[in-house]
Amino acid sequence: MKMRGTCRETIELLDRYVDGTLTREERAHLDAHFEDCPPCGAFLASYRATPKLAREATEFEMPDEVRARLRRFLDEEK
Amino acid sequence: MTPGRIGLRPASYPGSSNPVMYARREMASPTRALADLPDADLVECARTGDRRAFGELLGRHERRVYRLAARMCRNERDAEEIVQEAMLRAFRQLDSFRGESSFATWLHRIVVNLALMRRRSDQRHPTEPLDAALPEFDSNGMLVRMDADYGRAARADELLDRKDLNAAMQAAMAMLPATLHEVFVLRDLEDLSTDETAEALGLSSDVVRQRLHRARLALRAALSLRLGGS
Repeated sequence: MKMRGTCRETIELLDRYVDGTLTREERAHLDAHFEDCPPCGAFLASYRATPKLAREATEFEMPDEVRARLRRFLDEEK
Repeated sequence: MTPGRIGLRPASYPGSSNPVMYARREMASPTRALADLPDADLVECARTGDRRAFGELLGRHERRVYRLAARMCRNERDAEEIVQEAMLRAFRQLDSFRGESSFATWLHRIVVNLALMRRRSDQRHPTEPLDAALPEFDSNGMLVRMDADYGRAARADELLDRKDLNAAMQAAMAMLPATLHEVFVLRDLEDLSTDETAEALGLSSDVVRQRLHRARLALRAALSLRLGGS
């Protein structure tokens, strides 16, 4: 069976696929490619996971000592 | 603080069935009353010089602002300085806050602008393009190394413990050129829309989309390599 679309076309449109801004026709075209091409399906899964993993890795908590220094700084400067 | 002293009364009386009950409770516990006020009313109080009102605003927003600054600067030392400068500016420039956006959005913009100014005077961050991290295709437009396990990065949270995973992702983000990194932070981590990100960075929406896509591809590849896949 001939694969529908190329990996290059698919990956170029991944951002719009994930963000939901493709036309219905474009989306169907990519869905057909994912059915035929497991590596692209896996690539999509990892592309989708990336922002979530980055968000979790950068949930920086403000330390109490930084909060205290901020208040001292503002008291002196205001 | 009592609302009457500065000419403000809340539109409703949270937690009370009538304004008299609200005022009694407020006098008994002024801190609680400040906590009941929306940001817009606190801004009005702070404009008249009420430091406790500004303190309440600070307490509500400092954690989010710190996280944003740390994400933009990629380190917590610079983030502390940005937060100090941002909060001082916010306090001194309260009169320029027109209420056209929320206080949170206004403060967010101050932090982003300060972080961008710092980044533009800082040469530590990589500026080289990341072509090596982008996927490779053969002459037919098919992914090279079709047998590779492209899904490993999607299962990163199963394959690494949280600490190692966070360190790997932070290392990957540290390698992003600043132009891609700032788009990724605002769009994917801070959940701004494409148009809001474009406005904040002075870019077109098309450029934001292109840079966001490249940033996601580069981070995906870096994480995948860290996990031993492609």
